Amino acid sequence: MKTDIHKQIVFDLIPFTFRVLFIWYLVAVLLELLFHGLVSEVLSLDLFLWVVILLAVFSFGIEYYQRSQSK
Amino acid sequence: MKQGRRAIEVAKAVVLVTPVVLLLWMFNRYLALDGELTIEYDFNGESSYVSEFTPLGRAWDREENLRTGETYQRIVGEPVYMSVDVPWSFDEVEMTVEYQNRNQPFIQFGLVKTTDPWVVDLKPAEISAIDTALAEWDAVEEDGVTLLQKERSFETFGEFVTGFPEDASIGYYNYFPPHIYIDDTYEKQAEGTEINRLLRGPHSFATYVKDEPLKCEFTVTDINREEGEDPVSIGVVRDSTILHEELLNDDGVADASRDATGSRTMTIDIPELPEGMYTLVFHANNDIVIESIRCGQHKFVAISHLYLVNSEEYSDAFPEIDTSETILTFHGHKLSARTAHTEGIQTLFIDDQPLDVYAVDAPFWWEEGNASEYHELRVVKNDIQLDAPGFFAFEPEQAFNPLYGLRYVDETASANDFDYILVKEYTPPTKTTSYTYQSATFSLDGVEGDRKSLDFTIAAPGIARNQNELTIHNVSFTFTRDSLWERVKNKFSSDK
Repeated sequence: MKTDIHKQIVFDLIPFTFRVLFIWYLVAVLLELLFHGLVSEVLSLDLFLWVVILLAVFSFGIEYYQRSQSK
Repeated sequence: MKQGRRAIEVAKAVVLVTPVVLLLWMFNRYLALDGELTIEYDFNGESSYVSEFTPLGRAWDREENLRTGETYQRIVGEPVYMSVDVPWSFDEVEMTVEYQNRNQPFIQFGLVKTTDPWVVDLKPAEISAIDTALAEWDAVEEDGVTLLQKERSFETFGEFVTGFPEDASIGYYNYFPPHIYIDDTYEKQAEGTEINRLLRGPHSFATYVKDEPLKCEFTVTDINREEGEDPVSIGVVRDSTILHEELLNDDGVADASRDATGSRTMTIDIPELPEGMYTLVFHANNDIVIESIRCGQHKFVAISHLYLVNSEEYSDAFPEIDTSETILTFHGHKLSARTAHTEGIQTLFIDDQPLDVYAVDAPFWWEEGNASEYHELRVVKNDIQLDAPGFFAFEPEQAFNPLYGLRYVDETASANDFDYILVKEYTPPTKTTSYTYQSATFSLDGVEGDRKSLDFTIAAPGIARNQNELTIHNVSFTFTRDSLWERVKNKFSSDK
């Protein structure tokens, strides 16, 4: 039962975090273009992108897993 | 199940709120609303605001220690420059550097204020002679001046000034003692000084006066090699005060015609002066050539710099130029020679030690340990700029050391060279087992442009010729100005 809760949390949270961070990544790139150094002096945009890509991979993996389970 | 949903909602809220908070914090930092912006660069990749040290050759490419992962930049020449671009103008900046020093005894940090004329605000970072004295000697401080004594002879700085030890060796940095040396052995002579060598551009001379008028005659020619007017002034200075100034206007030719417009004479004649050393500051640009100097005084030296002209390179301006060698008496422990023309490539001789000047526009150094010796300097072809923390005389009898027992604490000085050191505005760096940390604060007043593009420098004289090295691990800049609230307040109070 407890494992199901954890699974649900992970399955719900990862796609949500991916969507939020993907939008924020686009916002961050736009802001960096407008205000040079605003974002890049605080956090690495490259690292940010890798986190988004990693979340995307997990997110699509979860979606694929859920689809295959529902069949 | 309900608990699980609650946890998901909380986690989602955190995911949503965190970037917003981060963005607000980034804007606050970027806009410097609190009046402060800190920029740090650790040489790990590129920075939006800070460039690495340049030029290449003096500074190496960024490096990484593969074992520890540390990133750094190696400095092997000087000066090196680091450009910093900030989004706003600030009033002040504190530069903090974390570095490792391999044997470099003298380091200064600086900020380039203007490029034409070239003005750099330099602040001391590490001076090993003073660091040693601060650690081992007796120190007395008064009005911001620290008197360091090898053997404690004076209880206060005031005692030191009144009982000034003229026979002692005294080092100074950022503070020049208000003492006028009196040379008891000096006697005026009927025969003064006559210099018939051609000297180009600005020079400073020192002479000694006792019971005699200060009378000097400078004959100058404008060779008009560069654009612009070429006014000349000669200031008579004693104890940092200008006593008299003689002016000469431009010859009327402002373009770079290369037409020498003939000799003109400037005369200084001051009948009565108290005994002591006087400095004659000849202020001119490189279009002005001193043809001759005639002075009633028999002690006469050029201070720190001499630009000898007697070369075929100048035969267009001086058709009957005497190109014979120049023999000087030089007092100092190091010397740089630089020529601007291929005609000036030559070998100089300092007490028969050769100094090859084998390329144009590059300084060639001679250095010796003993700071208090006179040397014979033979300049075979002239057309050379000589720079030294020392003095040049055209005849051995004219030579004297106008600083007497005083010596500027530079990279060649060690604590052992001095009995006393006078120092102002210097705090030794903080040292740990691995790194040295030093900070310098610069006012941004007087910086040209919008004060958003700044060039910082590290000066380490002698680093290349002594094969010393600095590795810079981290540089941080803390820019400050009034906070937004204070600026709004000031705006409204000034509008009233």
